[in-house]
Amino acid sequence: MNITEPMFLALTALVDEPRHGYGIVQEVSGLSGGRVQLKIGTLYGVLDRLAAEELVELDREEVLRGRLRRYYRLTDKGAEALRQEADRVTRTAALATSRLRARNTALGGTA
Amino acid sequence: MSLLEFHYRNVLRMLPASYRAEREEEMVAAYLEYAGDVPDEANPKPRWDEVLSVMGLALRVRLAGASGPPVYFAWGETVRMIALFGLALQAMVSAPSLPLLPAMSENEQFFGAAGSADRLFSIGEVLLHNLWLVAFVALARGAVRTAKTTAVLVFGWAFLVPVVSDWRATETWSADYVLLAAVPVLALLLGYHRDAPAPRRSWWVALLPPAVAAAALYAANRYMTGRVTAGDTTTLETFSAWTDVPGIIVIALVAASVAALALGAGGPALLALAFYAIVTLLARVPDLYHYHGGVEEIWQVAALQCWVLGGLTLTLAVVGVWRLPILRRLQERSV
Repeated sequence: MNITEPMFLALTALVDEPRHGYGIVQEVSGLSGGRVQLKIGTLYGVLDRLAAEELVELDREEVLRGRLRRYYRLTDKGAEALRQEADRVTRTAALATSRLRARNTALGGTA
Repeated sequence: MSLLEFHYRNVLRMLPASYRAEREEEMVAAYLEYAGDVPDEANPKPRWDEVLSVMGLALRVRLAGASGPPVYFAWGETVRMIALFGLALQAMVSAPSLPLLPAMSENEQFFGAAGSADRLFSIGEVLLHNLWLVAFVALARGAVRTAKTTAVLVFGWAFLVPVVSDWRATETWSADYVLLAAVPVLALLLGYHRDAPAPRRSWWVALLPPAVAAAALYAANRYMTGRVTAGDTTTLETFSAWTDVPGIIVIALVAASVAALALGAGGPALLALAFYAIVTLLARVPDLYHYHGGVEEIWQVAALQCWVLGGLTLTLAVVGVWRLPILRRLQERSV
């Protein structure tokens, strides 16, 4: 399964505790330093896909000031998928860092 | 209900009723928290990017991938098959120009004098038109992004550029032919969204239809050219009625439909073929009036093709609906 950046951030937002829709939007914004602002239509597309893959599931429902809040939690399968994706991203980032270091060394050597 | 909530609920009406029944209250609550307190006096409305995100969601739900509800997955698969078959038909129409190009380019009346800019441009145009072939092969092999880019480029070049500029203003296209080319492009852009499964057809499935069309038309053209050169023009009109764009498509549709029915293809594939059968029928019917009392041979071929297309439409539509997975499940449930 191809995990896009919004999916990756939404899964990360649910690692520490179950969150409701707007809670996930806020957490994703914080995790990305404000770079990723999920729209509500996008968020529910992401949640539909994650739920279909059984990576997240409904935790509980609350009604606050007459408004329905559904909280979602990360499943074990979701935690494993997130771990694998994080490993992949880490390996790619390490590769990029090592190549940049080699480039800087080469540039420093010829200067 | 605040004015903003009223407007947002109207935006959510783009979503299917079944989806709204499940998600609407939750989405409204999330959106209103996101938007914060906005007084009605400010005449608030959802931002355009918020509306676009709901439009995208509505599209992905209605033309769902495999994880969606069966009825929306069937719709999604039908639209994706319309894209695949439509590009295949365009590829089959354009591919024969490749083997015929050397012989065609000898005709200075159409291609310009040897070494001239006109000639270079004409040859480039034939090659560019074969981007349909690239788009089809790319889609069949699962390279969806390449297929989208190529299809939009060739459609824009063939139809939009002449329309919005004076350039090539003398060249006109019938509405039916524009429809035959526009539909697969639109279906490709809408049906292959990020939740949709990419097709993974083998190389031979991707290359066989245009290769067969190119070989068959090349052989037929050489045969006909030989007869005309020998002074025999008795079957020239019949030949032209079978090798113009609707004529090639009729032959391709008959071959594809027979194969699809025999191989037990699913409902979406048969409905997509039925769709093209009816569009091609619409493109052919005007010829019945145009050639009535005129060139009898062309009229007879056009009439035969209309009967064939009518029969195909009916057969494919009935069998296609019967083979839809959603109907099968309902039948199983009622047993």
